Amino acid sequence: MSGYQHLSKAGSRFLKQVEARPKHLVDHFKKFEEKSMPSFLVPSIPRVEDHEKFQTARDWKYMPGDRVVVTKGKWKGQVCVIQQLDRETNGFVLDENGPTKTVPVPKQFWSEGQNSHMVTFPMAVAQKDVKLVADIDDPAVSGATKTVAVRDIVYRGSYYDSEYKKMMPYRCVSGQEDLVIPWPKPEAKPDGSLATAPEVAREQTFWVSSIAQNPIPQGALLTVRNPKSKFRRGTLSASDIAKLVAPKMPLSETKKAYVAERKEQASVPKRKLSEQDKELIGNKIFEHLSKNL
Amino acid sequence: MLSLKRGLHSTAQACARTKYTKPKPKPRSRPNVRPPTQTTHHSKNLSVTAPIPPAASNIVTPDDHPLWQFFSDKKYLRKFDELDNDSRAWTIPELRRKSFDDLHSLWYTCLRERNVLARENHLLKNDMGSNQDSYEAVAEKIRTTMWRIRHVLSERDWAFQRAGQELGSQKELFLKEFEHDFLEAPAAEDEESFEKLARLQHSVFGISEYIDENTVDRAFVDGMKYVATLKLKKFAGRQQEIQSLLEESEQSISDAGEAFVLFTAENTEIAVKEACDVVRELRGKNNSVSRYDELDTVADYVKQLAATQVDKTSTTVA
Repeated sequence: MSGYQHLSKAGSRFLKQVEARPKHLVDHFKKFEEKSMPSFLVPSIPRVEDHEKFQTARDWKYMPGDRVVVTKGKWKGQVCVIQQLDRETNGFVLDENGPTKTVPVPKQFWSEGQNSHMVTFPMAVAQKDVKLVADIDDPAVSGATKTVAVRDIVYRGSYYDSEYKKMMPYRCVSGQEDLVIPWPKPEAKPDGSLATAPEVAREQTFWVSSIAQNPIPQGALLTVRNPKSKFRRGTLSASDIAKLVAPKMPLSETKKAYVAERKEQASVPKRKLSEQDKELIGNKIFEHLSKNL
Repeated sequence: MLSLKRGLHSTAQACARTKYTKPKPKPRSRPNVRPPTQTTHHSKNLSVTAPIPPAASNIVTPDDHPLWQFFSDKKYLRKFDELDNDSRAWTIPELRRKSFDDLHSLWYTCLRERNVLARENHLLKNDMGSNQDSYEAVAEKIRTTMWRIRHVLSERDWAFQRAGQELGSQKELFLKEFEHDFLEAPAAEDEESFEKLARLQHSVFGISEYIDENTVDRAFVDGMKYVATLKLKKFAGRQQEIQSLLEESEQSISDAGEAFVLFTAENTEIAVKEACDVVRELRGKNNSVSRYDELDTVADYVKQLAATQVDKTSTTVA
């Protein structure tokens, strides 16, 4: 590793080759990775490849703050609140009611006030092993609510969520789509240092005022677009055409012979039936028909 | 003793000193001598001092050093949680609302932030050998904003080009319609009408109200003639002299010099009448501007007018 990969692509193709593991060896490598890693670093569910990682709320289905029930394993039936999303494994890290593991941690990783080698960590749970828990109106008792686990959720439509500050889908109960389960309120965060205030961002400062004056100075336009670009020229140069047109394939010996034969055949004048020949054919047919009919 | 110097067999003899050369005496001390700019060992003031250890405290960097622009809050490296990881890039619809100046300054703000991030990313990858992409992820969002700015500007230019092409056939019709409305308006609404005219001359011919902002081109001169004619027509019904001038010039002003006089006149009956007198005077002297050097001549007029305006404002301020 040269430490210049972020600046130059030199040698990147080779590195890609090295990094791309053969498919049949992926599991094999994974096994050794888990064996060689200290237990406090090994995730409870397998890590996922980059392209498999969840990107949107639609993928995650549940967000931190949601109540879920664990449906599998030793902690089956526990109702917990999601603390955070584990992006490495596509899993959910639950609160103290959820699954935990107690593993030894070497002394250099000890946190302040720690006095034992054994530390209890929460274990991430996969999406398929949890179900959403929600309070819904109890049809039996009016005015009361009951707590249910939702088998699955579906998305119907979307709206702007001012808490998440983006478009979010409506989360509906699968099989009873009029039942919308709202997204949990996320932890309030101050705006980032690079953020622009909404009123500043929304303020309109551009107005079309003239059809005779370009709204962009000519000098600036040259940095935006190449006016002499060959893609806009509309004509192809000789070298462009040479690149686009495939060269003519040379003919093989067999093909040449075939072409010569066809040519020879074509040059021979077409034979025409003479009156004599027609007579002969007619007689033959008459003979045949008179014999058989 | 073994001689360590190498030479030919004759070297020693050739180099041997044959006469005594007296060493040069020390220069005598003189009164009123300008002290040398650099003191040499002749002054014998060299002394051995304690070595200065290299330390950051020995180096004083001014606060306005230009390279500070590559640092955020003068920090060597920001921590990952100090970065703005949550903000998103500007969207194209948001950028479409912003003027060129806004977009220009946003571009440079982005560029400066990317410089900081690139420096930090380089340190992280090269110096520390890390493969974390936190700085790059933020820089990538900023880069998105930057290409979107370029996209919006390009889009605006295309819109301008297309509008220009499409206007071609409809321009005459539009100007005629405007002329009709302008001349029909009653005298009481003069101020409003001339404001409309000012907007029209900017929107269709690109003529700014501030004379020094203009660049003189074909559209400017055509616009000037149109406005001059319109002014004459507006006041022709109220003044006999203006009416007669309009008839003399066959209902339109085609000479750039005359048009300039009328164009720069105030929008009042008296001022236009005075301008008419000047036009008559010009015609009397047979003073006309050829169509071939209209642009240069008008450019000179505009420059002179702008200069006189500057003089006027400076005298009034003084």
